[in-house]
Amino acid sequence: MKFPRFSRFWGCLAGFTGGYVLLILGMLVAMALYATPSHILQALRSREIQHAIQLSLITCSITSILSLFIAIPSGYILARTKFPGKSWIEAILDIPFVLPPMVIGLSLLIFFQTSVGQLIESVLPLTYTVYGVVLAQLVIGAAFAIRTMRGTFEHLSERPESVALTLGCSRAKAFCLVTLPAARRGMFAAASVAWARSLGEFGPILVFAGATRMKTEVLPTTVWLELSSGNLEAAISVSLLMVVFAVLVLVAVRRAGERV
Amino acid sequence: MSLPPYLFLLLFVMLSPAGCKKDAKHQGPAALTVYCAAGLRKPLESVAAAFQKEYGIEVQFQFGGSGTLLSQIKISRSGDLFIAADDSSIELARKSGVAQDVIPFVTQTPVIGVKAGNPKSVKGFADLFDPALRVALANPEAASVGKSVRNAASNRWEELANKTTVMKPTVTEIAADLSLGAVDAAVIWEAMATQFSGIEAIYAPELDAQQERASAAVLSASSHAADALKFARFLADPKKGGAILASAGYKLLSEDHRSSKNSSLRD
Repeated sequence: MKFPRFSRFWGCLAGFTGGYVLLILGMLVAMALYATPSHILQALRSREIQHAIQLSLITCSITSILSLFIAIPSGYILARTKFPGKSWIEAILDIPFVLPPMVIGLSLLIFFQTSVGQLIESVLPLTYTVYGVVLAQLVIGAAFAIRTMRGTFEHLSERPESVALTLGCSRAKAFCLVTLPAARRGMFAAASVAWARSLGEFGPILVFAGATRMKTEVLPTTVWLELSSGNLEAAISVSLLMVVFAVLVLVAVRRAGERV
Repeated sequence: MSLPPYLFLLLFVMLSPAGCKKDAKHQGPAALTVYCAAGLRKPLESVAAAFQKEYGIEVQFQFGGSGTLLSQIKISRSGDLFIAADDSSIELARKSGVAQDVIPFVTQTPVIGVKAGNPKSVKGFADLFDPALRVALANPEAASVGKSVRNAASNRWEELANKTTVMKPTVTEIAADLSLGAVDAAVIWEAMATQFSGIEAIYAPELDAQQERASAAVLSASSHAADALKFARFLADPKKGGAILASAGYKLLSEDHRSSKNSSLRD
């Protein structure tokens, strides 16, 4: 692809793209100008915020790995097979994209009050706990990861797998030895997308896990609580921190080469 | 130079709202934007409906915790009225210069909300510290009732905060969680116990001492200060807004026997 010669066509397209890019940059610059380094350092010194940073990093990492465990088989099935009711399953898997995040949190809360939910809770307490944070993140993170993995598997040619089968591999062996290594860039992209999305998740965590400081407070919750107490500088410092994390992850995704 | 056809379409779509705007100017007086504490939502919506019927002025609400709303007001520098559920939020609003005239209109008492029938036999404030009881509180920075609990717990607040099952930014959220059965007890406002189905109020002397006044403050940024003040007065009037509030279980200030709590609000 070479750099296009300027024309009205490319100029128009660049105009729309540039407008959006400038909007995003404008938002980031406005935030960066509002907070001073001393604000950011002060925020970083707060015990609650340090706990929230740790909790966010840990839960997002766990969520991205669990999302992969869900996304790899689901993406593979959706990419490689046809079965009756497939379009229904696809529609159900798209529901987390469509539902407002708060509704996801609410439905989780209600589900775990049912008899089935209470049974699960007696083994692993989820409502209002750190595990609940991971679950709330997982519902949406997995949806994004499945989309990415499905795309990855759809782009991978079936030939190497078929060749492995003719050479005596079982389906499982062919999958592990041929398909998965070939899909590793996509796996990395899926995990990164789930990670980035989980970092910003707020609605479901608020409703299902609560906004309890030093317990279920993650970075987006911190922004909300600091905003609520009128501490705008701390809210913006934490927001900038989140932007830095997100940028690092997304650059890593681009480097991995797979389209997100 | 001819414009590509899709640009014409884009311009048409962008300019058509401008045409619609002109019609809006011929409608009645502009609507009031009121930032209202979440716990007061139900009665305030009724009062606003009555107000609109009488004066033809629409009231648009933004609900949230009192602390949250104050932050929004400070950032947006817009809006007409701030209805907070506690005096300290109003005091902060005055100190930062965003609020002017303040009209208190009800007193609210925090209570321990439990499921109807009190299945866990909660008797008082001390029971909140029981490790077996699942308790929900409102974040003190965000909601007035949370501040009340923190004051009531005084030097045992850290202990209570650590033991709390969950904290949420508005009192309505914890009342909903209590209704749902996700927690056993939640400290909410007295009148909310009647508003939410299946909730009973347990009174505690520590909480009774934390009775708060809800007040309406006209915002300095308001461009309809006269209308805003009209609504605030309507709200406090025992024959108008006050009647609606009293029927919802609120104690109007004129009935309150205790003397005015916060003398710094007196000018």
